[in-house]
Amino acid sequence: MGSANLSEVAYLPGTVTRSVKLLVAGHFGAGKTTFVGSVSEIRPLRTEEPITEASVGVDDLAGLPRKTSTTVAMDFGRRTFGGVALYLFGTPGQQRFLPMWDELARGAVGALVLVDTRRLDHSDEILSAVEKRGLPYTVAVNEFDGARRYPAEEIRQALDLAPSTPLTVCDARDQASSAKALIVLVEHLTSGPEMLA
Amino acid sequence: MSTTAPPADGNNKLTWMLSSLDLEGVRYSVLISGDGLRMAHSETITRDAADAFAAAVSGVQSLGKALAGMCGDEDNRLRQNLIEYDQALVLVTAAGQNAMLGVCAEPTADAGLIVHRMNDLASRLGNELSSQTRRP
Ligand SMILES: Nc1nc2c(ncn2[C@@H]2O[C@H](COP(=O)(O)OP(=O)(O)O)[C@@H](O)[C@H]2O)c(=O)[nH]1
Ligand SMILES: [Mg+2]
Repeated sequence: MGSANLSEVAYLPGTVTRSVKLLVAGHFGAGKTTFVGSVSEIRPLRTEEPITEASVGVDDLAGLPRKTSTTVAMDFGRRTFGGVALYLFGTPGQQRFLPMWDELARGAVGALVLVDTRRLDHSDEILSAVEKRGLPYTVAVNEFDGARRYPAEEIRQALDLAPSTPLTVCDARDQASSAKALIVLVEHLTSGPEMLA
Repeated sequence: MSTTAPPADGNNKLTWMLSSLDLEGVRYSVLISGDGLRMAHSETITRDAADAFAAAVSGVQSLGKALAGMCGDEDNRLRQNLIEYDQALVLVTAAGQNAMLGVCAEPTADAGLIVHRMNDLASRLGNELSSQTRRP
């Protein structure tokens, strides 16, 4: 349960002229909490709870030997690039939390969708949820150790991505790599018809 | 300590535990695992509605815990969550390890009495109410 202690908050630089709200979405175990934690310049807000026996048969832990907790409300972090402060709201991944996305997504201008190639099929409901809310998005493959690497074209096909939707790879544990994935999203948002406000 | 956790149970065998919360003004009560799954529900709510209530309540409770560090030190434990709506009261209390009780009541219900009963139930049944953590 990380929570920012006020005295530790890295204050926004005075040069920030715009703030932008973004969602970090993805299926259960895609690496959303890890991503927000590594890319945030402030101590992230977390709502991690231990995974319990009640979730057997509901939450699939296959391939996630170290996952012992799950996000039940949101992750929150902030990252500033130049004059733009990105407010990152990470979603929970499971279907039972999808109704809460309405509140989380309010005011968001775009979404980064994380995927794990070992369970691409779990991304369908996430992509629909993002599309349903009219959010422009980019997809980042979080490359897990030991997971097979696929050509981008195969991943695009499996996810049924539009040709205009950028697809990148990242390591959610790595600050620089995660920042790069965010920049791809920001560039996509600034180039598209949905200009940043 | 029990080794088998109450399952997110389809046939709702744990309902009897919640009967002590059948108080004036209480609409329904749900026993919820920390990770947002319904473990039992009163007969006054459908299973589907209880599933949705469970997921939402776990989020609220966890955000409450995240707030603790912003309004106290690391020993600042969350006791209960009370949400007052135009048309309802929602009360949440911790119930053993990784579990909580959630109650939805009329806005005019006696919140003090309900919370008292919830705490009673939580402490009487502490271990049985808890949900064991999974080993990956
Ligand atoms: N090997 C590897 N493990 C990762 C990576 N990202 C996350 N993990 C681990 O995978 C599990 C799921 O990550 P988490 O951030 O909780 O996923 P979330 O459910 O999308 O929030 C955790 O145990 C992480 O430590 C990654 O890039 N590589
Ligand atoms: Mg998470």
